[in-house]
Amino acid sequence: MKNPLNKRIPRMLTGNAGKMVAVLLFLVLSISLASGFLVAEHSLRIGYDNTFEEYNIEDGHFELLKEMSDPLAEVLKKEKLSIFTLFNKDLEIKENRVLRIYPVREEINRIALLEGAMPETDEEIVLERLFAGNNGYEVGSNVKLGAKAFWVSGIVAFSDYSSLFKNNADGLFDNIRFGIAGVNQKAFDVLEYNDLHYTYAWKNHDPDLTPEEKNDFADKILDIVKEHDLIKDFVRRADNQAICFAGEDFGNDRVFMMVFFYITIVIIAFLYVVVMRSTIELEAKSIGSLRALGYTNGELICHYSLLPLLVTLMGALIGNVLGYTLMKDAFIYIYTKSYSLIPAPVLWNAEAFVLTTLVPVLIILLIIYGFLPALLSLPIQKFLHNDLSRRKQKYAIHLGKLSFFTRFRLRIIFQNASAYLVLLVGILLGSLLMSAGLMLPPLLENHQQEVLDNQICAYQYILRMPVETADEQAEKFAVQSLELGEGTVQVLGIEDGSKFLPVASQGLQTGEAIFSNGLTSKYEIEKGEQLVLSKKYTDDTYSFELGDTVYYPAGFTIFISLDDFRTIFDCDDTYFTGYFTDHKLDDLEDIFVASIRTEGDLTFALDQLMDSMGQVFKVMAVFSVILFFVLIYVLSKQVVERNQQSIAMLKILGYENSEINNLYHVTTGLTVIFSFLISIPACKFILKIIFKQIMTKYIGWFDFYVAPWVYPAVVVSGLVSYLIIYVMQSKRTKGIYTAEFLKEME
Amino acid sequence: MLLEVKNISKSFHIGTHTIDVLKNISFQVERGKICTLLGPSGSGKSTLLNIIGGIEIPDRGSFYFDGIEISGHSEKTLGCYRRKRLGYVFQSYNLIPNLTLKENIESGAYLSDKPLDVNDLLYTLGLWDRQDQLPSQLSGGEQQRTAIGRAVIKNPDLLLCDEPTGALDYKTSREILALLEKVNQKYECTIMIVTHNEAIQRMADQIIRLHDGAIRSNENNTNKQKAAEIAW
Repeated sequence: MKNPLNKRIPRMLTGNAGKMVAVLLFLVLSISLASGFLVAEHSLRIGYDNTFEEYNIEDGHFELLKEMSDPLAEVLKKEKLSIFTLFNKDLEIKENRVLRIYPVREEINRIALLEGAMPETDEEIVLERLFAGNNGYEVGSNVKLGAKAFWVSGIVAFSDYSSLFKNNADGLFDNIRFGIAGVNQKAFDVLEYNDLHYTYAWKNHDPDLTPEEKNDFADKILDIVKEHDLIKDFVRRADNQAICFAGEDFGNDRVFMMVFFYITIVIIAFLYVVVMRSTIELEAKSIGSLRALGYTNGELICHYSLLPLLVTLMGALIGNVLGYTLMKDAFIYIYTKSYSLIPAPVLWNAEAFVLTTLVPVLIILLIIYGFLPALLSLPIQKFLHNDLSRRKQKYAIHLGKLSFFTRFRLRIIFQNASAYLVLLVGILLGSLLMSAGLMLPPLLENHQQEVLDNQICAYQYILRMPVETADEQAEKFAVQSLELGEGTVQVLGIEDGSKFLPVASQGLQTGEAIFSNGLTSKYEIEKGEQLVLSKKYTDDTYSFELGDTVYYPAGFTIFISLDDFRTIFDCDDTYFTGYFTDHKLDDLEDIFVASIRTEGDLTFALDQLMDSMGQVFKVMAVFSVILFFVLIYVLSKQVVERNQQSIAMLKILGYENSEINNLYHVTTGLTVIFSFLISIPACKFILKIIFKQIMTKYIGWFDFYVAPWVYPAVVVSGLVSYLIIYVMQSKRTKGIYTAEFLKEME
Repeated sequence: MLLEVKNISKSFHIGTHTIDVLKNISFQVERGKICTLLGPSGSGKSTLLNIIGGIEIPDRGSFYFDGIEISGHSEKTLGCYRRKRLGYVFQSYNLIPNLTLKENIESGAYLSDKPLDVNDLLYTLGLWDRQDQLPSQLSGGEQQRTAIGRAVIKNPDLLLCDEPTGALDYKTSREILALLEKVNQKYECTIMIVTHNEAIQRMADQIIRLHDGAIRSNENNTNKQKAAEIAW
């Protein structure tokens, strides 16, 4: 015979509908977010990894000053590689919008058609999805390339441009002002252009080379190419940001996401405990009778854990369904808003199932089964006497000469201490989440402003080779990127008495290095300490001693004198790599300029970061408001239910509803305010620690900054949630009927 | 002999005070009989019932059920004893609020290897028409009849009733007593009733009086009356 007690599960569910629906919603939201995130990340990762083989992505490419010479072609033919022509033309199609156009490729770096058709006639063009979307192009639109008009026949993704980096040296991709397009060979040949790139891609014959072997082989190719022709650019696949940046970004938020997910699950488990404890207290006499009749603890534990278990399983099921559909799409949307990815099928992810379903269910069960046996193992007579306290002798805490209402409220707090403790932890977590969601946009804006206020100059020219300018205002500098762990540090050699850098104008001493503040903060370097950096793909290391620190938020930089730079990097006495200037240099030919960094580039990078991360910040803020609401709702409801008889008794005695609200709901309100008073300073402290931890893993550095309105906004959101619940609970209190209470007393 | 209680004592400690609730209690109850435990409040009758029910452990002494010693066993054994051999009825019904009347009775049937027929019992209890009602929709008498049904459905050897009419009015109390008598006759189960109502003793086969934790008298009732004839 099945346990007849379980027949009441549907009634328990409907009886606790408000609380259970709130917990279920919260659970569904948490699981679907975590599951959607993991499924999206996993599917995109697998899809991304597969594109290398499926779309035959290059092992590297180089750009020559003109077409490849026959001798070079002959030498390369003898190597174990295949060479593919990837000529492309850059064309400004309207102000500040550059399109890089390729003939449609069939063999290497193949193109994925997302919509429409590949170009067949000379008037057809396919556009990369992000650029097209950001600039209002769709299938059927017209694009004018120079004097010729093209009809957009399709929207595509280029397998070698998952991130739209115009130049590999750029700090961040740009999918608004820079795009890729494909036309047929005939149309390409006659196309006007601003820049023609003689680019050649190579593919190793041996696909099983180790990264080190691939790198050595690339070095060999570089030597061969340099020996025969003039080279403009040389990029190994592993260094190609357009190919690899997206892959490196997948899953960067995973640890952060999962930590918050599990904290949420623990809070949900404690919510169950509070709800179950209250149910058991209400049914203490029935439980005593059942135990007296012979029901075992095990049977009762099974029975009382069934409802939370069912709700959890239901939450896990709905959460996973939403995770695999809506949420997965939402996260894929977030990723594909930044990256030009080739659509990947949704893959069943066993790890996501374990992490977002099995582990949370186990955590909840562990907490429930840790709590229930302890409570249900109390002696039967304790249940029969409706006394579930563990203490043998219960003494009331002496509250002195406080007013009656104050004492009453304090007693409510003592009685509901466990519920209020869960509320405090929940408010702390919600405040953390909301603060994090709200603080990041102003933090980035603040950083952006600081970068602008402290920029070296209006134009930073990076040259392909040292070329003199007649402009006397321009100031030479040299730069070298070195590796530090997984990050990059720019070593900047500046002229003595530089007018662009205040640190330099004070005159750098020989052998002295000045570090940017982010570098000393992140790596905790003290004055006089040595920092050892290495050169990529070589065994060369360089040591710099910290002489002083300068506030320079634009990036990790070490400033040394230009002379020191030339000595350290073994360059000749006239070596330099670029110019600082406050206006454009007109006498430099484009061919010698690798890139120009302007104020717009500095702000654009951060704008783009905001654009791609903005959705995540919003999700965090909304999630935390829901967390506040669910917690305050479930726990305040709990307090009312637990005290239903007392409230009815107060009504019988003649208390008015406002006085009862004043006792019960205001007490919860005071606890909410008290929780915020504790949470905000704790939140500041924890955020600072978490932020520093995140920054140590992040490739760059942002100074910790919380806009003055962030914490007040968190408190106001929490209090508004409480006020809504106050109104709901006041109605509930009003609806408690004294007649029912009297009947129960009979 | 169904039940044999030998020299049972029990004390409670409240602060520095020790209260001797039961002092050297001994008696026997025969199978199929109705036995009443009478006494004023605080005389120890509920504690004695709880010891016989395996809910509390005596400090000293022992008791035998069907010839087997029960006192001193583990909580697990006591649980099994309650599950298989006993039925329990309380003054305050203690029904499960969100199970229907019939389901409350079934919650007792679930515990037994040889439960009585639920429908037959519902007729016997006079609750057939109310079987789908929730406890909150029942009168006190109906709730107590349901509680008796929940205890009896197990077909227990011994039915322990702690002040079964304590919360009921006169008329309903008489109905409940009549029902207990009917259960005793129909299902041949032994019944022990704890009460402070002197009138109830008249329907019992055996009357035990407790006072201040000790047995004042233990006698067989030679003038046993039918429940319907009792008035107070």
